[in-house]
Amino acid sequence: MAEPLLEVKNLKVQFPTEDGVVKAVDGTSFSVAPGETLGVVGESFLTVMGLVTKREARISGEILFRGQDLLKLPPEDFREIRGAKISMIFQDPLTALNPVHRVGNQIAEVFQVHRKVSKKEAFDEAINLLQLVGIPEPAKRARRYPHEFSGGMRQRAMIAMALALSPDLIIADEPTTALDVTVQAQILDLIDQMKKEFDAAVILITHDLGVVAEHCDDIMVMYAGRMVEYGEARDIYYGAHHPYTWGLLQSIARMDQARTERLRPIKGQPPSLIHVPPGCPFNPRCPYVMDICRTEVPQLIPADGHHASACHLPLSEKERIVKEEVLVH
Amino acid sequence: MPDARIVRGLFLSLKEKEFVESARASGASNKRIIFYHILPNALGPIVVSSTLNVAAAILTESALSFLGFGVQPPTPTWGNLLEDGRTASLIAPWLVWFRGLAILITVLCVNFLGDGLRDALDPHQKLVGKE
Ligand SMILES: Nc1ncnc2c1ncn2[C@@H]1O[C@H](COP(=O)(O)OP(=O)(O)OP(=O)(O)O)[C@@H](O)[C@H]1O
Ligand code: SF4
Ligand SMILES: [Mg+2]
Repeated sequence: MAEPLLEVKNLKVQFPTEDGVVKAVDGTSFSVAPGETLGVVGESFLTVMGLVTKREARISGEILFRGQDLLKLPPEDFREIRGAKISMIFQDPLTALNPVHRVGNQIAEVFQVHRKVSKKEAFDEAINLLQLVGIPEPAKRARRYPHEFSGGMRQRAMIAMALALSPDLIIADEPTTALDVTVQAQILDLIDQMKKEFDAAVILITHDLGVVAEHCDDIMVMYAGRMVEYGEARDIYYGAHHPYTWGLLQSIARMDQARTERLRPIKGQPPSLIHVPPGCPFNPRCPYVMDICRTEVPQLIPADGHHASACHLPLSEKERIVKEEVLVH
Repeated sequence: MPDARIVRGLFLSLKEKEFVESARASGASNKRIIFYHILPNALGPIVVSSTLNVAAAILTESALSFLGFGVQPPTPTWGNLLEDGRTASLIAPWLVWFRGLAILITVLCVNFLGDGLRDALDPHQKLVGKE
C-alpha cells in the first residue's frame, strides 16, 4: 500500500459536560491512502477537522497528515493546511454558506486566504469552479446569494469551494443528508468525478451504508465512538462480520434487491456516550449477545486481508450468520 | 448607541453558526472571521436596535423636558421647544401642534431609516424587493 496520506492513531475525543464526560471518539486508529475514498458509517463520529476547530474538546492521539501531526502543529501552520490541503464539505450547505455574501465571493475567499491574488482573479477562478461542478450560467450565478440557489446547486457550490485549491483530502460530512433523494445521487457522482479529476482522497461520513457501498473503497463502521468493523466496501456489503453492521445492512433498502419487503431497524436506543456499557458497547442491542460480551471489550481483530471486526462471535459463526440470516431477507 | 449586551449576544450566537465553522475549515483567520463573516451578519440587528434606541431617546427626552426634568433651557431640544410652546398654547396653540408633529416625524424618519438600512444590509430582503 502506498504511503498513507492521513494516519490517525489512537484518537480520543472527549467533551467534559455537566452530566459526565462524553466520549465521542474512543481510541480509533485508521489511515487514508492518497486517492482513496474511505466511508465512515455509524453512530457518533466527529470529523477530524470539525473536532480540531472545536476548542472545548479534549483530544489525544495523533492525526498525521503527510507525516505531520496536526494536533501538535502551531495554529497558524494548521490554518494554512485547512482549505488548501484538507477541505471540507458540510451537511447542510444552506447554513454552511454565509447568508450575506455572494456565492462567488465565498468561493473566491479561499483563494484570497491562501494565495496572493487580486479580488478579480479570485472571482474569475470561482466562476471557473462553478462551471466545473456543473452550475449553468456560472458568471451570473456567482453574483447570487446562497438563498437564491436550490439545495443541490448550493451543495455543488460547496464542492466547488472545497476543490478550489485542489486539496489532497476532502472530508465530506453527510454531504447528501439535507438534499432531495433525486439530487443525492448526482452529488455523490460529482464528488466521485471531482475526486478523480483532482486526484484527492475523500472521507465520506454518512449514516447510509447503501450510499457508501457504491462510492467508497474502504468502509469503517463506528459504534459508540469505537470502530467496530473495517474493510473493503465489497467485504462489508456482502460479508460483514459485526452484528451492528448487519443491523445497518438490514435497515437499508438494498440496491441489488428488487423488493424491499422487510426493512428491519436496529432495536433499542442509540448508545449513550457518557455511560458506555461495560464489555461490548453494542451488547444491550445485540441479538447474538453472549455472557462474555457483558464483561470483555472485544478487540478489533483482522479476519482476512484488512477486513477486521470487534466482536466475540467466532469467525465461522459470523460467516454462517451473514450468509444465512443477513443477506437473505 | 447599540446596547453592548445585544452586540455581545449576537456575536456569541453567530460564532456558533455553521458558516463560521466552514470559514474556519477554509483556513480563514480569526480577524477575517470576525470582520468578514460575523460582523456583516450582526450589522442588521445592530442598526435596527440603534435606530429604535435613537427614536426612544428622542421621545424620552421630549417627555422629560416637557415636564421640566430634561435638558435645561436655553439648550434647544425637542422637549424644550415643546415646553416653550406650551406656555403660549392659549394664544398660539399651533406652536405645540407643529412642534409635536415635528417630533413625530423625526421619530418616524429615524425608524424608517433603520428599516431601510436593514433591508439594504440583508440579501433576503433584496430578493423580495426585486420580484
Ligand atoms: N460541544 C460538544 N459538547 C458535548 N458533546 C459534544 C459536543 N460536540 C459533539 N458532542 C458529542 O459528540 C458526539 C458526536 O458528535 P457529532 O456531531 O460528530 O455526531 P454525528 O454522528 O456527526 O451526528 P449527526 O448525525 O447529527 O451529524 C455526539 O454524541 C455529541 O453528543
Ligand atoms: S461482542 Fe457480543 S454483544 Fe458485541 S456485537 Fe459481538 S456478539 Fe454482539
Ligand atoms: Mg455529523
